[in-house]
Amino acid sequence: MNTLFNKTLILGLCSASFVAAQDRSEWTVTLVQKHLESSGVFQGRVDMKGNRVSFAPIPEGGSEFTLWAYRRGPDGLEEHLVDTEVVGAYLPEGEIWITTGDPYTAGIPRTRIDQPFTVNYEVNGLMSDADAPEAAKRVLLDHKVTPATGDPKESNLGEEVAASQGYIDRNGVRSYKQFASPLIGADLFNSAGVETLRLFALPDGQVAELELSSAQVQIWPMSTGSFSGADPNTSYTIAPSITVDLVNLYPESETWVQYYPGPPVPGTVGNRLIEQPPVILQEADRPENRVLTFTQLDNVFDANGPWTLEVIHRTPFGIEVISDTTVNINRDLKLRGSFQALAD
Amino acid sequence: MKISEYHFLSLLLPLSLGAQTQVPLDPNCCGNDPEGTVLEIRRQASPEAINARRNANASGFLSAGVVKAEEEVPIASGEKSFLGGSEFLVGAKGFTIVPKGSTVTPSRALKVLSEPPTDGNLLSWKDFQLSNPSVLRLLPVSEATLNGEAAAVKAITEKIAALKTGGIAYVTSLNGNPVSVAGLSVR
Repeated sequence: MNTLFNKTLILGLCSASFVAAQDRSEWTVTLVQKHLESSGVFQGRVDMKGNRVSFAPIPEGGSEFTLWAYRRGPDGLEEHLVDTEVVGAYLPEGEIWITTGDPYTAGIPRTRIDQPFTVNYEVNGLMSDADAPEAAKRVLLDHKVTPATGDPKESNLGEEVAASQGYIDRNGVRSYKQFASPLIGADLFNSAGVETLRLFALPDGQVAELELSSAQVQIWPMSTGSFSGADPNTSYTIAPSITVDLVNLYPESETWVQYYPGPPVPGTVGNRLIEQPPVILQEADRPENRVLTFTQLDNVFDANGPWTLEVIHRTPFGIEVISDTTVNINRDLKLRGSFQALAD
Repeated sequence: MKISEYHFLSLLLPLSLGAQTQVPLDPNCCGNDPEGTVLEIRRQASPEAINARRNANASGFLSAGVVKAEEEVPIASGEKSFLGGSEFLVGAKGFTIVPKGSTVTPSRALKVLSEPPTDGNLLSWKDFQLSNPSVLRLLPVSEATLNGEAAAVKAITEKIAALKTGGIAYVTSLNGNPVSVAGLSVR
């Protein structure tokens, strides 16, 4: 054990944004100190902001401090965990956070199942001394996934499933990329859920493993589109009406249908069909479905030949074609017969 | 720029071509070239491509110096709960919250509940003490007791045993705040 460890601790009590956002008069804030190795749970009311000395000296096994806000709500007592800190003799420090390609900042970071995200972490306090206890030399990085059950838009989460575990034995800030979500559902395109990464200090003697930090990311499914109403193998003298079913459109996305003459050519920038406005999910916090129907395509397809229709989906990850179809137009009038009788 | 801000920008800048409307370009949106000339429309990733990306995840993990665990490390899960680790002292004027096991002697006037009461006033510890002066007392514990020193634990255990017939609720305390110390309760 590190004998240099201070036996007392000055606690800086955070003025949590959670409490600040509430009516301060309603909430009571309490600090709880729990010895990890020996017995002893201490608690006392504290101010919303300020600092104080710990209730009891920190024992060699360390103490866990939790700051709770509680109040009487309409459904009984409510509690909210404001912050947790563990102070131990050789307890490493760890922080983990996730960044994605979606600039969403209103809650848990989010991304789509095919998109990469970056796991960032900072670890300090690890020892390189070969004689140091195992818990002082490395921390555990635990990765779990919680798949959504049923329709992802319902956000019913199932059981948490282990994805991977690894050890970090170096201090400092590092990061790595997850190239696509490991969430696996029956339908890959329709898979969704939450991934959770946690940093743990390893168990040591009587002390169980301790969570140092955790981070989550929401995983939303792929968006899909399907055309109906036109058979690509049929030629039309009058353009048919076409319906587009859009499923799981990504939150805060824009989706429209574009067209251009000729067969599908990847990367073509066509013209928008303006009969229906683009689908804009501006304030959506989860995927949505939409149906678009186009009945006035005869003026749009103004020449004979194949015309391509594509569903374009613009998200923070880029602009993608999520579905396409071809409509063949042939308006040439073919007469089978003779004009000779009229000439006579 | 947030994509939600861009939506409106795109609607303000349509380039009309008769009955058609050309896709507007926004160089700041969605990974486009900031020089403002490229609008890249890609095909959506196929299931095969997504699976290939998934298979590459392990390389990202290892490149950051994370050493894969040979065996799964079991992690004891347990949701933290302030109320779950507490008990509730209920008096005539309301109730308060103390650590589970800190009320070491029974009382005729105060009830000790393990579940939060559904009615009554929620009082702070100090207010509860003031409102129950004759039926609630503090039983200070020492650092020696907390450290489990046998003589100190024996002394306070004997003291609790002597107090339990008095009908007054004693709450173990440190510096005036309630504290629970395993093995002391004789209720």
